[in-house]
Amino acid sequence: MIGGGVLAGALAVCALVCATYLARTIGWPATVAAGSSRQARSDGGYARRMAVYTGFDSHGKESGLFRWLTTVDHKDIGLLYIFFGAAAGLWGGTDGMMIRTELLTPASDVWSAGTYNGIFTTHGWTMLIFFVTPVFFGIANYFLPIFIDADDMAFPRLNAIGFWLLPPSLVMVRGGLITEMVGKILGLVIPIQYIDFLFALEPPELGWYIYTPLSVTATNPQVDIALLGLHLSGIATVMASINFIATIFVERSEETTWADLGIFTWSILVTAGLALFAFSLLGSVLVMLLLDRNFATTFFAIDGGSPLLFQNLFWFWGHPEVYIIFLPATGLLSTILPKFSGRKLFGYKYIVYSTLAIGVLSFGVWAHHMFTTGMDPRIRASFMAVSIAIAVPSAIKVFNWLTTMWEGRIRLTAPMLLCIGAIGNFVVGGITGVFLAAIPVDLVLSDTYYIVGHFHFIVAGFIAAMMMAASYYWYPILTGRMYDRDLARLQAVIFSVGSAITFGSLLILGQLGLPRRYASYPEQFAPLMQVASIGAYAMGIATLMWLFNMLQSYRVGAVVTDADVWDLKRSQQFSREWQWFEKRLESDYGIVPTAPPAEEIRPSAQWETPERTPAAPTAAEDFRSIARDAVVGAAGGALAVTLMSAVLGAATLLGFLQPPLLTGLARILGIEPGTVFGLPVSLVLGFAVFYAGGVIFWPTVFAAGAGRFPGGNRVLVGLSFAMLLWPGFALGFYSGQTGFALVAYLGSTLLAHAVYGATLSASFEYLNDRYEIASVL
Amino acid sequence: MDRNYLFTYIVPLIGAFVLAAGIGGAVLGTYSPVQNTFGLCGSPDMTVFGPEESPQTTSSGGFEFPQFAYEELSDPARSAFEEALRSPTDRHSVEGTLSPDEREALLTGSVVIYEGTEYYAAITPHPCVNVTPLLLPASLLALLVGGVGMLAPIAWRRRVGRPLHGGDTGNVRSGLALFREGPYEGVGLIGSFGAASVVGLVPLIGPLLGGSIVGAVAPTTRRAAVLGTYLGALLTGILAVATVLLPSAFVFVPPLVVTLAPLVGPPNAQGVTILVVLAPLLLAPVSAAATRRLTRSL
Repeated sequence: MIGGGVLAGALAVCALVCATYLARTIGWPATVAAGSSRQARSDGGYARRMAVYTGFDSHGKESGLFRWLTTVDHKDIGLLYIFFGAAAGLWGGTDGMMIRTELLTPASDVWSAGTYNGIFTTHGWTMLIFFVTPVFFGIANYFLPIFIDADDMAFPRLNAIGFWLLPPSLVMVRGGLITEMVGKILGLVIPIQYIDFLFALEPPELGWYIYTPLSVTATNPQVDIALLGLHLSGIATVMASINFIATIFVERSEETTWADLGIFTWSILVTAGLALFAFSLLGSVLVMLLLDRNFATTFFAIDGGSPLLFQNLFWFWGHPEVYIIFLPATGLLSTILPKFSGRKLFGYKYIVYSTLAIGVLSFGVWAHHMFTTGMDPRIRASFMAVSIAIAVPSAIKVFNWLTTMWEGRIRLTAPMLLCIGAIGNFVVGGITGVFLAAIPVDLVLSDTYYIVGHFHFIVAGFIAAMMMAASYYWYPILTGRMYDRDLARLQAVIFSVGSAITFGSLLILGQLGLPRRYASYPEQFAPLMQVASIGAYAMGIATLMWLFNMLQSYRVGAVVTDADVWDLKRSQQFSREWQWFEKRLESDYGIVPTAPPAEEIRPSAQWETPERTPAAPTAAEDFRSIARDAVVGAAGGALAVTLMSAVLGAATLLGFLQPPLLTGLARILGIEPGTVFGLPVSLVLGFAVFYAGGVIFWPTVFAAGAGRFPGGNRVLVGLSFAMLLWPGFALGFYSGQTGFALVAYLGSTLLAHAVYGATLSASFEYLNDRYEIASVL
Repeated sequence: MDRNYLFTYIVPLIGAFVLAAGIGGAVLGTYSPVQNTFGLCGSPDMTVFGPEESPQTTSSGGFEFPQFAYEELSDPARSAFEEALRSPTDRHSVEGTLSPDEREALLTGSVVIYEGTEYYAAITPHPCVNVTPLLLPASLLALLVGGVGMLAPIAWRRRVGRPLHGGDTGNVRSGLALFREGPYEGVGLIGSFGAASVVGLVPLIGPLLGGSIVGAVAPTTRRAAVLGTYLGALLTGILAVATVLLPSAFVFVPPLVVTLAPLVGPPNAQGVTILVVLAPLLLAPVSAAATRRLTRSL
């Protein structure tokens, strides 16, 4: 071991000497006289030439590596955060691909089981701590001072320190892999006994949650180094959080009131508040764990301490951490979505309140990660209640986003496509989370792939998608160029669909009971596992497309000559960062601001077609109109459901369909068996409910939404409405038919629905014309 | 359907998923023959818990673990046991074959009494990837079809005369100029030379990759060739010294050649060693100069 150290030291000295000699040979550092094209500024640096290479005037900053190592400019630090986070994300994403490759086969044959354990541990750490948070902090660093009209962050040097603690943290956390790889390459040419110290570290095999007692007893020294790295990253996050909070409170310009703060700024404020409390606690927990591992304390020991104490403390950080990475993504969505919907964000205040509510509630849900540990059922129930309650503010956001898009001037740009895909993924990821908040469901699904599917829908399908959306949306500001829009749109769709395939498969695997965290699994799960891997590879392809677009567009993308890249002035959403960009284009490059013709400007909150908004009727007119609509709707519905019942009745007589759900209603209501009109009471009751639904409920839904259903003419509109209902009916009334019986069942119910939809639509049209009903039809 | 829409979005979208479907099979199909050659599978890992941790495992669950004296273990098991005890990670691979009974017992986990103390020892199997022979060609076909689908937009743009890049412009910014003649010139050269010195140690492929790394950031083709020559000389020197210290360093190369090109036949081991050691002298400068020339437009 000592010999290895001496050899490494000697090699380092040799490398240094060689490097110095080489540098002199090739003439570095270059001077103007030596032929370099750089020109020194009188105040230091090479600002003029930087403008040539980067496309921007560096505004008196130092040039080259020195600039990036010493900068305290919030924009530079923001870019450093973004580059660092993106690199970590690509590294963690590679881990993810390795995991999916192992899971292509049921046996643990691609990597060893130990390697697999190490990969999923470091994948979690890398993605959660070194990818997501740095990227969001980078975006916030760059844009937040501009949003609030501040000169810079409140503490610029603290800002720089906060960033520069991250690279060593990452190296410490992932050091085992690095030393192992270097060892394996050097092992080709150097006897292993001289470099065996490089193999002393291996990636920890603990899971990112580092549960005790395993994390205390694991002898791998890399565990200690990784814990120190995590601690260091926590310190960096706390520093950055303090800075964000101070900046938002103190550095706002006088014109920027609390009511003027953008949603992204609000979400960063809440995120920073959460991080301040949560990461401070994480630091304490990690120190306690290190003490247990190295100094014989017993905080988490089985004898004298409590492994469950660790879980409580870990998740008291861990669940707020979920919202620390989630809330900035919602802030981005709330910022970007309205720009491409042509409308202001619907319910600004309620989104702010929901963000604050999530921030508060997020500290009260941690124990839902521990429902299976046998805690007191009364405590468990209270955590279930809060965990379900936190879905409410999340749902408020979703409804506000959907309402923002409703009747908007939707433009399917790449950021908008990613926003739409992210909302879909968030709904699935969020609702599966509500299921898991219920104790009985959690007890069954805990530690299965259902959990993996649930949270990946959020962290990949939502959060990563929103990062990409932000990168496209602000790309012109960051680089002065435009990206390849076609490629970006394609990438957005592949990424969103890939997410749904991958994590949807995992949800099904979890429902089937497959436990997570094993390198091997039973053979019968292989097809779904392979589908999940294909989806993951598609996401990987989409990520590489994104990376290519970012790099290639930096080289050859069209130079921005008008700051209103997204046509935001038209909807009066030319927000502060774009105004700042416009000023910079004007001052640096003499590009004169443009404005759309005055008649084209329309208030962003206004609907696209105001003439469609009807004048308010009087109360009497309103009543008469409603009554007439109701009668016509009920009449049309009665005719339609009667014909549908005839088709279904014929199918029942032919044996294609059994009415167990109809008869089951009486049993649910506790009605005694008997007969009415010679028919079983259960059948009569069930049919009555079915018939009433066909007369009242579905015609109402049809009338309310008829303008939204696809179809060239009104009969087709009715048919498409019925086709939307049919899968639900077919699933609900399915009673185990197979083969031809199944085909006959599906065909007969499909026909019945087609009859219902066409009759409903046709009768509506006839009655409308006959009685001059002012219907949406 | 609008053909512009078809070739810009629909065909590459389908192509992406076909490509994704081919990746897994191509990786497994390629990895399968290589894995065994490199000794990356087959040997189970043995983990040994010391007297402090062992009781936590062996005393729970009411299960009676098989018990062995250290002397009863086979030679490979003993060797792995001792190495695992010495290892900071408590683990070492089992080099050799275990008897079926011993393997079965260690798979379950066993108590081994060594110098009067009880240790818990267990092995984790690592079988080799075994895939159907048709998987690789089928996957390669999927990669080909998917790749063509993904490149369809480029062909379409070329055909209709649109710029190949969506935001194409005459104002091209050279990405590598920052390193070649920009503010990161020195850092790029020294950093790339350092990285290439490590990567270049991998036989044959390493000097090619290393030369490319150096060549990508070299200011001119001539300088790339000069730097590549320096790199080649350095690598050859290291490999020559390594061959003296480790005569068996490159014994894995001949079987690899046989695997990749069965018709060539097993090459002479000494010849291979000489080839590996001397190859950087030629490969590194050629690779560096070629890379610089091919990337002059970047």
